[in-house]
Amino acid sequence: MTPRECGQPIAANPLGEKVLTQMRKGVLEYCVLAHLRCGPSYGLEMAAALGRHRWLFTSEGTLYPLLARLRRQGWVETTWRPSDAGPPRRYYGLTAQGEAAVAAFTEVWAPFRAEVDSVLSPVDPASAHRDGPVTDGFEGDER
Amino acid sequence: MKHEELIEVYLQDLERTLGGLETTERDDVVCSVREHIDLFLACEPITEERVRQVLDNLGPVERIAREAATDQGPDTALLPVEERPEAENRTSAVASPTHPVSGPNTDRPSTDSFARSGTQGSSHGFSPSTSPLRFPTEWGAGSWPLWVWPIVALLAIACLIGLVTHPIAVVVTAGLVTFGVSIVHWNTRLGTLLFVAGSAFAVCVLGGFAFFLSTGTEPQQLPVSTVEVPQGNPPSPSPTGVPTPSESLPPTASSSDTASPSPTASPSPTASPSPTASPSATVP
Repeated sequence: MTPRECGQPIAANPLGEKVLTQMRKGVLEYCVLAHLRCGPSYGLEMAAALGRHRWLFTSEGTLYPLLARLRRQGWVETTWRPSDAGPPRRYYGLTAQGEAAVAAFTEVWAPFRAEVDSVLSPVDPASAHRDGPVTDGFEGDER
Repeated sequence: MKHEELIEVYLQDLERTLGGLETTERDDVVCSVREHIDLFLACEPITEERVRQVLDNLGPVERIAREAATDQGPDTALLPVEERPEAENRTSAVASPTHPVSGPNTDRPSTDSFARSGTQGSSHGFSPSTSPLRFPTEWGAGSWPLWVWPIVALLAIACLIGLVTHPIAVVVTAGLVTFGVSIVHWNTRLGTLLFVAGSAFAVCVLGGFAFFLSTGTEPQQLPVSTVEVPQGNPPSPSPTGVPTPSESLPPTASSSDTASPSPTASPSPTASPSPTASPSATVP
């Protein structure tokens, strides 16, 4: 069920919606790139595919500024192809730079997610004192 | 309202909301959204239901503008959709509880606050016709495309040639006029090339002017028929054999050059530090 079908925003809490907006900014473009790893795709097709992920993608219109930005960065390239039905379609394809970018994102995503999960997971104070300082993956990271 | 009108209202609102972006980028986004609509409607017969559906799926124009402004910095001009009762009435037929196309419905408070927050301390938020002059916020080299630099180099060469072949006042005036024209041109959103070129020309000219002033080197000047001679000191043959200003100077010396530190440039007894340059200063 999409948000439009259920008639409710994804995050009922406005603060949650704000958090989602911030997280989407850093993630969605890589998800678009990851979608293009399967092959060139046109906007409507991408919007339909990404629209299934309602936590990730809310408005189909936001896809186009994002694609324009990716093209400026040289991560995607466009080609026009005729269509059997309807007007010609602008296909977006991944460039070598785009492939490298999505590979880099994939590489860091798993440890990043693990650390976030670790930080967010509830900690039992008793076990924490018993086991010593919590090692949450930030050791040695001079931040 | 006809289907086409619904679509056109949506696209016009989108274009207006993206008003602070570069023209090419704004056109790119609007054209892409139009292609999206055309493709969606090409699959099946066009009905009002389908038009509403595709606009609903695209989402409010403010949300698209927000995404477009992600990498534009805080000063990006995102123009709010004008509060038009007529437009609200028209688009309210398209709006849904969660995804209004425009108008004062559910998403309006957040978009308004966004528009305000995105225009703090700037002239943005006004229509192009009423806004004061816009000035670029990023002057770094990274914000200029590569093809600008050959033009800048050519302008620099042109300025150097101009500085050695034309009176300095002419070159400086040309640079300032070019810069002014480019500012006006750029503010009419007709492009940035002329603005960049005019800016570069002005920078080169003024830089060259400052260089000549600092080094005390007088650029060569084109022949000018008149030579200004102070009254009461008619040119006369030098008793020491030193040529008079009218003989030794290139015939371009004019009143604009009286402040030049060049030893041979000025016949004025007060401006030239050189005793050999002015007969009125050396001859009792």
